[in-house]
Amino acid sequence: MGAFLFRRFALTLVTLLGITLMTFLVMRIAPGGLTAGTTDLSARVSAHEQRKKFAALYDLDKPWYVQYGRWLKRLSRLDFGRSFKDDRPVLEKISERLPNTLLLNVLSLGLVFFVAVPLGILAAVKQNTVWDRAVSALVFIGFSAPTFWLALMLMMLFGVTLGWLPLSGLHALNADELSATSSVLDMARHLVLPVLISAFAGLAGLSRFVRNGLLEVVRQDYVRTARAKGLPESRVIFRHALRNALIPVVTLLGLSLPDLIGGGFIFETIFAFPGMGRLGFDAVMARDFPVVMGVGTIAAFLTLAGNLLADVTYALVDPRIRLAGKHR
Amino acid sequence: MSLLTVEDLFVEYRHGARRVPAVRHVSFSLKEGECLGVAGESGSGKSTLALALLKLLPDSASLSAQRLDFDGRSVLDLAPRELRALRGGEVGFVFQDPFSALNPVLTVGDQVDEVLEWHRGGRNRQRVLDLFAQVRLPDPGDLYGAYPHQLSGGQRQRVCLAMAIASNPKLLIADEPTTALDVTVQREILNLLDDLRRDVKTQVPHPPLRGTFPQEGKENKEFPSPLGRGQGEGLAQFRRNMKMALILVTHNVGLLSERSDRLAVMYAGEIVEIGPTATVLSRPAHPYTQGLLKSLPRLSGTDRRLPALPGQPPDPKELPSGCPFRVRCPSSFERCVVHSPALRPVLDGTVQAACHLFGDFP
Repeated sequence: MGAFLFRRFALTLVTLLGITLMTFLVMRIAPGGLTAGTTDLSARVSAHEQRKKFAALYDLDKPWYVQYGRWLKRLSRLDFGRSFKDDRPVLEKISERLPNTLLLNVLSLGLVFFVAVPLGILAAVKQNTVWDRAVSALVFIGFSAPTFWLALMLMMLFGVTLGWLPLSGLHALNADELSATSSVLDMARHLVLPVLISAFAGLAGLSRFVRNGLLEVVRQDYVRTARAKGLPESRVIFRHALRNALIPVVTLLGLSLPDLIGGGFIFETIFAFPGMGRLGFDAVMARDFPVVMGVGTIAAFLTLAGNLLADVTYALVDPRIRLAGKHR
Repeated sequence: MSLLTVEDLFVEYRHGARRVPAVRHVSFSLKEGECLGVAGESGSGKSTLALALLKLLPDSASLSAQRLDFDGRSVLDLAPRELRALRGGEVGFVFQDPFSALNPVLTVGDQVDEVLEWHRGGRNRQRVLDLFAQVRLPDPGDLYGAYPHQLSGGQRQRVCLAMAIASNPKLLIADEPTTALDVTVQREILNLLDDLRRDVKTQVPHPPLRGTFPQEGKENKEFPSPLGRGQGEGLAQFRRNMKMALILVTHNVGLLSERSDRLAVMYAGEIVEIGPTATVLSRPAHPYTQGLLKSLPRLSGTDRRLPALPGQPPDPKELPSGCPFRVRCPSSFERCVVHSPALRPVLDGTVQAACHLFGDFP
């Protein structure tokens, strides 16, 4: 287990470096260049001079590898630099947004998990019945309906036609004046649609995954052994089959972590949700280089950490991995 | 007294819209403590038969029988709870592949203990360790918390055996228990089976627990509870009886020669010959049994090529008319094409064979 962890950790570090390098290079070849946003609007200095000053200020006149090296050096001090746009520290901007994205996605992932697993079990145990078909239909819709379309439709229905829920953002305009309780309530109302919609697609996928995994496991010899022992069906399913069927679900959970941290770019934009995704999206559009790098690095770091965690959990739930090499 | 009575058992698998017969017209009975060997090629329906006895077949199979009685009760009419009390309680199962028969995420001790929990009124770690010792697992004390993947194939099969005998069953059904094992381990496991059959004192009457037979709460007069009053007397009573009955399914007739009391030979889902093992092996009546025995290698034999039965077993989807063996049979005649032979007493009458050669038809 120790060697396994060390190897995984070293690999993770290399991957992280690779991601930052890729992001760095992609931003460099983005059309318009990093200083394109600087315009001739100022009366005193020409845009050309302005650009040169700007480039010198941020080392943009140096070769890319020098820039990347200096960026890494600053990173080692956890200094992500300042935004080109408003000169605020990148870390500060991210720390405003990250909790929102995390809140949204943890809620949605929790919803996915607590609904999809029982749904998948139901579909598998009642295979080829009305229940199974209903879950299948739900999955079909969930998979095929584009999230942005679904989001817009539900916003129309609940936000405009019925007027039950707010359309965008995370707080009402008068949030500052609200009491603590109504402020939380306000936030909850803002979260309903984003959480439901982002959960929907994941729900469809995971419930199908659980169903198929369970059906696969139920055919295994050890399930027949459990039945031959005279155990009731509920115990066969929950004790003998489900444990094995849920092992791959842990992996899936690890794979869904990027969303959890990065936030859906399009999704957060539709809902004007003040999260990481929108921060990154706006930064890319504005060629706000330090912010793009900051968002990318932190999202990548947390994602990789999450994957590592998923791997460790995987090992914990599966004795064949946990005890590998410890043969009697 | 007959422990198991099977009359005209029929199993079909649904294959899309088609129904494919796997076991047809199977009838036999098993006495208490008796060992019945069931031999046949792959696909002859022997494993399906073994599973059918306790309705352990997959959902795609349908089962019917004139009679399927275990210990005086009709298995087909049992309530699910009563059926579960039979499975693992009065009847133990051992399957072919010990590598897949144990749950990979539960410890082996836990898996054996579960049988005690369900059929013996509670978990009992010491009893599990005793069982491990009984199936001759080394260092039983360290084994309780081991996971299946940490054990060898032979050790796993021993765990499966411990699980099967944990509740002192009256009958053990072993479906090719040694096929997946090394040859050296096969013999050990078979010898162990023999010893267990002698040593396992079947069916200690126990206090009422979930799914107890025959009626919960009612005192069983014949076998008073050994844990209640008259403990010694109860134990003596049941020990008087018993040897565990065994149905040993295998494609290796050689394994059965020294072990089984009676031998059933299956072909295309039917029993084509059944009788005392020694008689069947020394004077095989059915042409299929004869062919099967001729194809066995013998240590004393010459270096000539073993005669193989010509042809392949019939596809159960396309069974021939009349006798299913007729296309490969050296002695088939007109009647075999038209009529399907039924089992009838042949030779000295202790053996039954399904073959027109023994018919006294007009």
